Amino acid sequence: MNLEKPIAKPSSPDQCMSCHSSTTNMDKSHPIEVFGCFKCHGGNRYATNKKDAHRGVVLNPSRLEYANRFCGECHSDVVKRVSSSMMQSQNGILNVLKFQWGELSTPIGLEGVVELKDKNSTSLAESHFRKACASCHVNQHEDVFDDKKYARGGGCVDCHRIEKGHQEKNHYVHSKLSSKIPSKNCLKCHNRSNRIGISYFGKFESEGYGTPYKHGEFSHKLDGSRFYYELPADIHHTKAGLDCIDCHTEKGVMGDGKKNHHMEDAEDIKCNDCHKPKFKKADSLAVMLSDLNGNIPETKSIAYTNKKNSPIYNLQKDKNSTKFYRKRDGKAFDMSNMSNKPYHTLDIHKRLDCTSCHSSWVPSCYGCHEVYFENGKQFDWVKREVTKGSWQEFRSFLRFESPSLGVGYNKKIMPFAPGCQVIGTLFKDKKVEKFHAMAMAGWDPHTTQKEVRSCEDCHFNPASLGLGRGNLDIKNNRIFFEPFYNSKKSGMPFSYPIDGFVSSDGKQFQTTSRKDARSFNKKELQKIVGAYKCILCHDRYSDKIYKDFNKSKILFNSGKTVCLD
Amino acid sequence: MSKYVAWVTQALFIISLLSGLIVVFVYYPSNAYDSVQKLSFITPFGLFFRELHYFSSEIFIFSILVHILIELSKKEIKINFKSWIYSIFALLVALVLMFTGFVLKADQSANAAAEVAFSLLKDTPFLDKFLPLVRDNFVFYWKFFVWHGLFLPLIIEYAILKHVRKLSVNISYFTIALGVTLLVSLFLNLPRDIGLDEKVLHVKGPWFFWGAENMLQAGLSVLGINVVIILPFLLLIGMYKSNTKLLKILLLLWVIIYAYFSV
Amino acid sequence: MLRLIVIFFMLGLHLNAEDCVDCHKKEAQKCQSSNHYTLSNAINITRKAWGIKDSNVTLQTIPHSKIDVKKPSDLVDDFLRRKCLKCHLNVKNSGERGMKRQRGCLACHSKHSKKGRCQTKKIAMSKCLSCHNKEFVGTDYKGLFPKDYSHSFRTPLQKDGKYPSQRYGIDFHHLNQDIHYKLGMSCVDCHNNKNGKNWKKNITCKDCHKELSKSNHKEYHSNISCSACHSSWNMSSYELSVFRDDTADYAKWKDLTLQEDAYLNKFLKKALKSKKKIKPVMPDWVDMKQKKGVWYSGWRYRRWEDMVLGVDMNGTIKILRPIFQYRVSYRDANGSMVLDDVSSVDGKPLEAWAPYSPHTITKKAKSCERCHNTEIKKGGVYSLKIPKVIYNGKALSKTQTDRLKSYKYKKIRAKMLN
Repeated sequence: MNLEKPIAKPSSPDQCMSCHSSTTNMDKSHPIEVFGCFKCHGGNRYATNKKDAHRGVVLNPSRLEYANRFCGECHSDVVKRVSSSMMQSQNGILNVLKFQWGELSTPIGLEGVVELKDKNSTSLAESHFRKACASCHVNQHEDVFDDKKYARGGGCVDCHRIEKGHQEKNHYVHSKLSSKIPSKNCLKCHNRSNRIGISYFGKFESEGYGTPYKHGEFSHKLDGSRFYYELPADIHHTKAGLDCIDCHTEKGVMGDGKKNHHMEDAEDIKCNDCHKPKFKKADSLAVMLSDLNGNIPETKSIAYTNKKNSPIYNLQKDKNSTKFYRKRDGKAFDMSNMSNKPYHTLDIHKRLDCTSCHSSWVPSCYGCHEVYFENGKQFDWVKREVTKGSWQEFRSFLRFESPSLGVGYNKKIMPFAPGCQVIGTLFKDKKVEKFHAMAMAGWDPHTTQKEVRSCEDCHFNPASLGLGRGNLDIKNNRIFFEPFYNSKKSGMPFSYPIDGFVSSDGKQFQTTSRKDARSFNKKELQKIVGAYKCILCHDRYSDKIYKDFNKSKILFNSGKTVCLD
Repeated sequence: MSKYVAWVTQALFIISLLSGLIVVFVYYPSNAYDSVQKLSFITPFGLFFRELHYFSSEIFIFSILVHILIELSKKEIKINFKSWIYSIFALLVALVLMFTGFVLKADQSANAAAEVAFSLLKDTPFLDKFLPLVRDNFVFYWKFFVWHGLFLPLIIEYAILKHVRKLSVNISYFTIALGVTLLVSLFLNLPRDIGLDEKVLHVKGPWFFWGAENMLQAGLSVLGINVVIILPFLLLIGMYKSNTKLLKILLLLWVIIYAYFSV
Repeated sequence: MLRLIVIFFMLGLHLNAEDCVDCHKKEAQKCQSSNHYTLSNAINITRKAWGIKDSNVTLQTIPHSKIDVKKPSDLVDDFLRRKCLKCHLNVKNSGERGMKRQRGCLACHSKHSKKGRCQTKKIAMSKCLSCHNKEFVGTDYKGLFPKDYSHSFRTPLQKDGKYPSQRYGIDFHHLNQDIHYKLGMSCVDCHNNKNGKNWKKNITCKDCHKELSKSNHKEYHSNISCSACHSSWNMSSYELSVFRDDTADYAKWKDLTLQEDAYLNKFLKKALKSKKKIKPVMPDWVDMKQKKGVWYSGWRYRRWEDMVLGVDMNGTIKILRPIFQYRVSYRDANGSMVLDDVSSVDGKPLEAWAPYSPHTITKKAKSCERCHNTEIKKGGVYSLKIPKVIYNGKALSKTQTDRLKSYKYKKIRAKMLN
């Protein structure tokens, strides 16, 4: 029973406005005239003195420990999803690390940042995670970063804030939030490790020379002492200037409420979703999202992701055309379906992931020399205090050319790069211990190009095959490979070349980051390299043998067509 | 002396009643905390009447205690047994009124106090049957509001009338009572409301509950607490028949022990 | 024997070039016209790259740079004197481990052992490598490839937690070694004056390998140098940015103190530690005087697996290496940028590629594909991999590049594979 009629949302601002009258709106959807301050920031909205009014005020209500109470009042579903998402828990990173360092038997687990908070870890991997990896998660505290430009965390605002609140001459500009998240927000975190964020924009983290020198200073700075040089950017960027959010759906980014093990489980979008789309009637979420965006027209027919069935509301079909709208400004691009040419339909290449051909380069950082000083001190990003034990990272060399290939987490062939090749040296009280955990990882490097790698670049390039850099040859159908790199002499605790994923007879040297991922095996290597002798001449898909490859094969095997007349 | 205290106590009760009558109009049980805050900060003279209601009630309880002290120090009890029982009942109701009033301010401490009271009731045999009388699943403060704003005042009025034979508003006592209340409110502050969003380590109930709270914390069972709470009333009842020194000492002892636990 | 060594040792202390000349007049004369003495090759090719036409100077005649700098060519002599020419016969010690040597004849003709030092006729490899240790032939014979400068590449750490010790002021990756090195041969086993040949210019593989194994495809590969096929890896160092700074601005170099230059490493470490302002000075290795300004340098990137073919002056196909793709900056003492990242003069880039013979020989030649499948992608820093200016040679002709992908080649190769 309710004694009074439900009160309407305050149409006049809270008493807060008697002091904060000059504050600007944070966005279109949450005007202060309607919401006031209290709704989001708590405190005492009726009090007119600072002390009473500010009691219980929360400066950043979007931190996940408050978000449920404030943002969650309307967006409860989203807050719940984000709280259990991988960007918050980082369980993917932690468990893969523990697996690679031999502390877990599988790379699968749900333990993450939240669980580590009250844990006294003795594990080496956890120590490394605390001191390095854990700096990036959605709920990190922004105030622990010295350089505010690269401050991460803060809950919802980590991604959604497009302008930080600040005092201007005679008014206060409230932090501006938006659902049109600029890519630079994503790049606050996604610029290291597999570096997809910077790769997409054609930046490759360089060897750190800062060359060429411009105006007497280093140029091509990323942040701190990191630098880059330019490589061909992703075609989605060069051709259409797409941002991360143009492809990555809200479910893929903010989670679907499930606790996922790996990034690819959480990820929603696939190339096919746009390039071979299935159109359906727009659902209520799609209508809401396109309305919120404001630049994207509402249409009846939109595409949906195959995996989580979430609307790609910016890919729309009307009677005559299929159009892709850029979320930032609503600019429309004509979309045509993926072609049905032999290169996309041929059976021999059906195991290839799109990335294996269309990714032009992969940032590959060989040799991750992790040095641990037991008596050192370093900031623990989980506990947010300086604790015992410090880590320092070194590396052997960098490459971007000819990405290695292997069998990825989806059992398809995709590019691989070191992830991570840890050669650890532990400086303990009086002794020095060593360990190594060499691993390669496969991922979509986000360096998509329309032009693909040449046939030879996969079928006869030892680096692409995962053998490493060196000299490859075949004689009598046997693969011979002589690597350039001499790991033993270079001080590594193993004898295979550091850029070698697999030996020429199919023995895998290094582990991977996933249960199902692996290098090519002997059979596959021989098959790939074995095809090279045909590819020498038949090096175009326009070649007539590819028109009906199975038929050509039967004809050839039965001796009806001859090679090398 | 005894007479003056009695009359001032009565005047305080009336002030509390009247000021309550004013604040009741801006109190919305479904939006309790907000309406209290609105009353305190926005409604013209809202804070004045809230303070008046609060301080007059607190002083009312104190003056009752002084009144009892004075009466007990006398050799014999002049009123009849029925009236004596009504008096003790009135004291009990006054305390319940105080408690419900505390709950009605609807801040975090009020919430906590209500929850504690609920669990106490729930774990007490017999009394647990009465839980639905105070607990409301839809509007938390609704039943407290009904009790505090309607039934308990009626009940206490009835009990007081049975106790005092006549209810008169003597303007001079009234002035004294008002004066004392205003004077106290000048020097003391209303205890601050703890906002629902605030993070506090420890919230406390009304002051007369502190002893019970601490005893609970010290490990006393719920049944024990009930005994502790009921004991002084039983002692008072017992005093009518045999106004012995023993009972007085016991009461004093109880007060000392309870005060010790309260602090 | 011991006595003999001691005597040699005593002599060695006092010997200098003049002492040798008394007896070895002929050799001394020959030496004075040699490249080791004049360093004219290195000097003139750099001067040419920086925009001086028809440069013909030697170590002995190299001028001082102009004070009034307007273009890179005004600075090239300063650059050469202070960065490159620390390797010449009269520099005793430029500070790096492994680069200490005697002056004059003894720079090469001496030998250190536990028992002392003596003159030798046979020159130890360490003497050669004390100069030939950077982005050219020399250390590549031992399979060494310089690591990148930043401290984050200095691995693995030593047992005491310190950075690995460096030879020649450089940390090295270890790559495939030359087969001759593996078999115990040193530089002078090939580079000698036997058979009346000039020890550098005319030495060829054929001098020793008279009966080359018969190859099926000799007819097509007659015009190609042995090293083009038989080298394992080769040096490709892309785009060297050099910067002379006359101001005391050191903080930014804290991760890059190691620039293959022991003096600079020591100087920067001192300057970064010191609370006092330290003047930027660096020695001129020709007249051995400290002069104002410090030269810094940094690469774009370096590779050992890239391979570009070209044709040398004799028409032989050889591997090319970039030497170097310069970008020059100069900030004067007042802090104004006189040259700000200048990479070309009069529209001509300050870069040069030249044919060379990598000393990373393997018995088994490269597979055909290493040459026939070269394909360089476009965009970004990929462009640095395409030679624009080739000194002492030229790019492959159209017919030559076409031949790489010809049907004839494919047919032959396919046959080999079948």
